[in-house]
Amino acid sequence: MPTINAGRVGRIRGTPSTNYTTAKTSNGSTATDSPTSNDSSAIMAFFSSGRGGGTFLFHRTYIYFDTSGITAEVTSATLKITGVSSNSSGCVVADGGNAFGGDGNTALATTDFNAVDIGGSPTAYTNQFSWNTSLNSISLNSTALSNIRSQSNTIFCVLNNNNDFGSTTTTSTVQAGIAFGTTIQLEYAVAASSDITSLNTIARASITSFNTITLADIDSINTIDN
Amino acid sequence: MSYLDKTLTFESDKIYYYDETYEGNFEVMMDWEDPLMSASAAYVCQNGGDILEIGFGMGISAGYIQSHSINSHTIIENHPDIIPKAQTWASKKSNVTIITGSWFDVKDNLSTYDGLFYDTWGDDNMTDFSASLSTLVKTGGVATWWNILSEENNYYNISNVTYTQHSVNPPSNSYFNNTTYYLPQCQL
Repeated sequence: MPTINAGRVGRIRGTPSTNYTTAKTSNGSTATDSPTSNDSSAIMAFFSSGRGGGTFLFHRTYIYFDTSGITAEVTSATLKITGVSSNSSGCVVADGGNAFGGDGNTALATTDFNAVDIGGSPTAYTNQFSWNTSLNSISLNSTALSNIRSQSNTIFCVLNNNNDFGSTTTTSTVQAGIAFGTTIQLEYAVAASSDITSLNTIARASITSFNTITLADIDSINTIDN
Repeated sequence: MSYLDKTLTFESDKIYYYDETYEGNFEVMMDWEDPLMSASAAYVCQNGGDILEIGFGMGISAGYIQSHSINSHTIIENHPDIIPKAQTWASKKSNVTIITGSWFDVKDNLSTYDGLFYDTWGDDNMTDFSASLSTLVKTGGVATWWNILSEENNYYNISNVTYTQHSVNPPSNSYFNNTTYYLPQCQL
């Protein structure tokens, strides 16, 4: 299957706050663009019970891919990220909005922290998944597949699922690490192309088999490539 | 690593520690709170009697509590770096008792008090404070606590609380960055 290397990655530390929502929706306090070493808190929901209340802090990782070369229907896509230490209960991948300037040409900035639009209308590209300390092969949903095809620039945000993407207030610290020294990749598959548009006036898209043979298993019909 | 495992740094104007995960310092207590500690002490000591103070910190409030006419002053402190400082501070004060450990762990062995000041850091039992008030404070007694909310409200959802407003000007810190402190006042 074809694979694209991430064009740019980065991690943003949010701004600590005693208010849970504020910590999730404010600009970040530190942005690290193009890190190359292990980061044990690349994805984090932090809580300290502190002084008469709590302090909330979130870390999010953004990943950019140039998907301008993908024009066919994408039938599957897998985001591949090498993990390191983790005590996270679960992560999620979401649409990273216009982080990196929207086109990967701009370094990740603190103002990109909520490009994922938490508090607004974030778009999930996966369900919750458990974070591995080796290779994470993360299958993307149909919304992601559609966007990968239609967008020249595809940006992902990886964040904690329950406490950051979701609205379960953090009561302890959960984090997941990324080995940024290992290239993050997007592996995908596209629908097979065919020179056949119809058979006996029936549109090809409406045909599943021909002479009892599954259409996808047929290389050509009457010398026309399928 | 919990707060109790952190090594605290003591400076003249604050106590703090560095948290690797947080990637920064947490101030535990700072001297800009002095007027608030004074006001809190005055409130809990208004009836004299027996005073319970949960959390010693820099000892600012403890000093103010001692300036009032009271019978006894019980202080609970759980951080291993602060405990010896509290014990040293209390060594020549005949009406002071230092109890070490978590207030929640020792609460069933405590008396009842005329005044209670609750001011902790990294307290795993914060959510139990509200339910414990009535067993720690005598009927007619008073209680206050560190109020992180800059409004007439409180983190613990304790009802029938009034507030006095205090103007403050704290330097940037990890726990309170507002210009008005709402000192909670609760009579049991």
